[in-house]
Amino acid sequence: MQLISLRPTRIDELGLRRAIDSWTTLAAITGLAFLAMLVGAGWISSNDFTRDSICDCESAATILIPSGSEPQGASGDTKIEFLLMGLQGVEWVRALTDEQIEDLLRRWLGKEIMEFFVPLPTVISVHITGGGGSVAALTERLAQQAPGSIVRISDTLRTRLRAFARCIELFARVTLIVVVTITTTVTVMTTHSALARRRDLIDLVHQLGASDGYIACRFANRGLAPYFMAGIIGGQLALSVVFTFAVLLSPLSIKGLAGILTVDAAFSLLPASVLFLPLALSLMIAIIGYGTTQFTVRIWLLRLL
Amino acid sequence: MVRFESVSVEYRRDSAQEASRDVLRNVSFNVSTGSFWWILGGAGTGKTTILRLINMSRRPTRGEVVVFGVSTDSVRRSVMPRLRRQIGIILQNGQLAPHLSAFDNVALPLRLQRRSESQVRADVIEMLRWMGLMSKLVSLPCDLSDSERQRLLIARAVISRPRLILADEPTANLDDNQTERIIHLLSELHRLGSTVIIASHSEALADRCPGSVIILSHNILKDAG
Repeated sequence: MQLISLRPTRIDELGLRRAIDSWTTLAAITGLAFLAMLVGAGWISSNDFTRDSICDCESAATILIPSGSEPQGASGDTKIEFLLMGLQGVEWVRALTDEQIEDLLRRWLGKEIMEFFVPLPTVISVHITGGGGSVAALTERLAQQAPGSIVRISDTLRTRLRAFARCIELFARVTLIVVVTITTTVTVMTTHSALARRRDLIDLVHQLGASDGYIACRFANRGLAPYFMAGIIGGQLALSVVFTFAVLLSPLSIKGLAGILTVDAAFSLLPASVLFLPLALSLMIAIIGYGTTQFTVRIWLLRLL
Repeated sequence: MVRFESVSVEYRRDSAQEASRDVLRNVSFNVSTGSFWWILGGAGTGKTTILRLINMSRRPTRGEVVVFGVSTDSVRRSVMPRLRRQIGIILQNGQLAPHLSAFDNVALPLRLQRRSESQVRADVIEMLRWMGLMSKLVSLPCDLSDSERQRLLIARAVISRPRLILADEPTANLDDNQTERIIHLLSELHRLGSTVIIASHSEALADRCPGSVIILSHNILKDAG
C-alpha cells in the first residue's frame, strides 16, 4: 500500500501550529528586535565615535613657549626641530607664525593689538601618538630646553566625551534590559496561552509516556525559527534607519568629510560590528525565546502527575 | 507487578462545607506478572480510580501503590515516562488527538518510543487492518463513529505491546462481534506475556475470558482471587 497521504515523522502531535499565535508574537518580537538593534547600533557607534574623538584630543597638544624661553639662537624652524629630535611618538609639529598668533589674538584684544607691544609667545601645535608616555617625554624635554613652557591637552573635551559615552552606554544597557524583559514576558504569555489551549493533548501525550523534556522541546522548537526570523527582520529594518542616521551624522566622521557618499562609502561609516548586529541579535532573541519557553513549559508541567 | 497496600483515595470537595468523599477505602491486592484480572463493580465504585492509580495519573490519599516494583509515591519524575511507556491504558471516553489522523493517533506511542518510521508504518497498518479500520487510515477522529473511536483507542493502547494493559470498559460502544474480537485480542496479548487488568460492570463479560477477579462494592474491595 502506498502511504502518500500519511504525515511525515515529525508530526505536530500537540497541535502547536494552531495553538501558538505566531503572527502576533512575530510582530511583537520584530518590534523589540528593531528597538534593540537601534539601541545596540547607537551604543557601538557612539563608543566608536567617542573613542576616536578622545584619541584625537589626547593626540593634539598645544605648547606655549614664553618669549625669551626659546633655546639660545633658535629661529622659527629650529624651535620645531629641537622638539622633534629623538622624541618618540611625535607625529608632526607645526609652529604658528606670528601673523597667525596675531590673527588669533585680534579676536580677543581687538585691532589695536600691535599697539600694546606685548611680546608674543611661541605657539606650537603637536600631534602625538602613544598617549601619556609621549606627553610625559615631551613635557620633560620642554622643561629642559625651554623652562616655563606650557603643554595643554584638551582635558575638558576629553572628560565631556567620556561622560557622554558613559551616559549613552547606561541608556543602552537599561533599554536592552527592558527589551529582554519584555521579550521574556511576551514569550511566557504566549507559551501559557498555548499550554492552556492544548492542556488535554498535553495530558494525553504525558500519559502515553512523553517526558517533560520532550514536551518542552516541542514547544521551544516551535518558537525557535519565528523568533530568529523576527530578530532578522527587526534588525534589518532598524539597519536601514541606522544607515540613514549614519549618513546624517557623517560630518562628525573623518571618513564622512571626503565628499559625496556612495552606498559603499556610506556603509563604511558604520562600524563593522553594527553590520553583524542583526545576526547576533537574532541569535540572542532565539536563545532567550528557547530558554524561556523550555523553563515555562517545565514549570507548568509540574502540576501534572 | 502491581501491588496495592491499604490504599484509600478521597476526593476533596471544592467548598469547605461539603465533606470529602471516599472513592476507595483500604483496598489491598497483588497482581502478579503475566496474570489476567477483572475489576468488577457498579458505577462509582472506584474501578477507574484503581486504573488511574496504577497509571500514576492519581496518587493515593493513604496507603501505597507499587507498579513494576516502584512505589508511585516516591517515583522520580524522570523515571515516570519510562514506566508509563510500559503501560497501555484504555479509558472510557478516552481522548484522541483531534487534529491527527487515525494512523497518526495509533502511531503516537511508537513515535514517543522513537521507533523507526518503517516499523511504525508496518505495525500501525497491521493493527488498523486487524481492527477493521483500514478504510479510515487518514480519517480524523471527528469523522469516526463511537465504535470506530473505541477501536482506535484500543489499538493505540496495545500497539506498543506494553507489559501491562489497563482497560476501562473496553467494549463499551462495541457490538457483539467487535466485543468478541477485542476480548480475543486482549487474551492473545495476555498469552504473549502482557499482564491485563480490565475494569467492567459486566460479570457476563468476565465469564467470556476467565481470570482473577476483584469485586468492588461501595468503594471497598469485597473479594479478590
